[in-house]
Amino acid sequence: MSDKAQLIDLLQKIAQADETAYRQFYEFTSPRIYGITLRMLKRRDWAEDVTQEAYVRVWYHAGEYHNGRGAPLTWLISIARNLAIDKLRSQAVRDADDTQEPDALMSALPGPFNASMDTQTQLLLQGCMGELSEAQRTSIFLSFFEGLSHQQITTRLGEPLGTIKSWVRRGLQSLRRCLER
Amino acid sequence: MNYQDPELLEHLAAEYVLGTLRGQARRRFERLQMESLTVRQAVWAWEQRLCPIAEAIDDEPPPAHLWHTIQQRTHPQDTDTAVTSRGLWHALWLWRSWGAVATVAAVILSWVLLTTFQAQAPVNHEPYMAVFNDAQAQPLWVISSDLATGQLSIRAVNAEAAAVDKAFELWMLPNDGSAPRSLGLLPINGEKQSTTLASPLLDRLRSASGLAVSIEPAGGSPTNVPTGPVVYQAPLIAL
Repeated sequence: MSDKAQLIDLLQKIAQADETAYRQFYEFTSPRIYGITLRMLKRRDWAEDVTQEAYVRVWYHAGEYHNGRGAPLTWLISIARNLAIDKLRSQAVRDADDTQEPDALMSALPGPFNASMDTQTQLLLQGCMGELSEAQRTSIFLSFFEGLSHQQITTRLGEPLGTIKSWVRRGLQSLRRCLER
Repeated sequence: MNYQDPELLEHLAAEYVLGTLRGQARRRFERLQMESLTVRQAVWAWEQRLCPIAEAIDDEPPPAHLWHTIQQRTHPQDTDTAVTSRGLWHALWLWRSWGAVATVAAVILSWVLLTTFQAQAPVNHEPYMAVFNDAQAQPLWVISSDLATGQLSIRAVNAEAAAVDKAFELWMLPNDGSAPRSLGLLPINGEKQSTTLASPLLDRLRSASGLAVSIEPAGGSPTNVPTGPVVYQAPLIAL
């Protein structure tokens, strides 16, 4: 059974309140989710909060997963990333904890794609990302990996806001055209 | 902004998924997703385009204690039975800020929580429940009773004093049409109170046609029947 089919099977069981399936789903996917949220949030406590919330949602909303959402991992990553973006947006949290330094383990710029990328979709995406300009690619990566807003990318790259917005927008348009070719 | 424009929709969906759509614009777009399948589908398509980027991020196993924390959220009754009843009240308390919510929703929620709680305890229970709502369908009091033990618990969710020298009194309405029987004064201002009912009352309560609340002098009705206006009524529901 493929990973995707196996995760769909587990989600169906979780929707029936199968706790063993829930544990298996967590064991299988949580390193990915924690890795992604840690990369975005750069704080272990926040990444734990968001990962926890994401899996609580899985328990109560597994039945809402359907084919239209893509692979179960895509669905799960989207839940976790949206929670992480909300966490980043929460000014109260940010202000209250501003004195804390981000975990040192986080590098500023995205690394290369894993060598383990093997599915056609991932290879296609990698190829299409390669067709973007360096500036477009960096802007999109900074937002996706680090959860940065347009304004924060502006600060990071030292370019005007309008330029950054244009890079992101045109980068996404090119990406879509390339992926649909 | 014209959300019917397919190019604009694509743009917003892409920036939403990427995370660059922020603030009020993000909230508005989330609302739009709730209302429109087309918008949701645009978002789902972008999730599938962009999520493979996450392959570039190394896996990182979460700390071992995280699973336990998640378990406490998904199975509160396994770790602390007290959490269940707190969770019930907390959940009902939340209804208040959610605005008008039908009584039946609160009752169903309570039923779910009570039955999961009951699954842990082999003792016989005969749970009943009533929720008094105000005109805006916001809960004022939640009454729960276990007729097997005679325990009657009342929580003032959203109820405030009727007047300085007045009190709210709870009544049972017997199904034979006889005079209401007092079940005591109701708490206010978020307070909770618990009493044990005498067994003759329990039989009548089991078959009662409902509960009512009247406004009485401080200390309660001097005559053992309602003297002030009956301001709220609610059915008593066996769970």
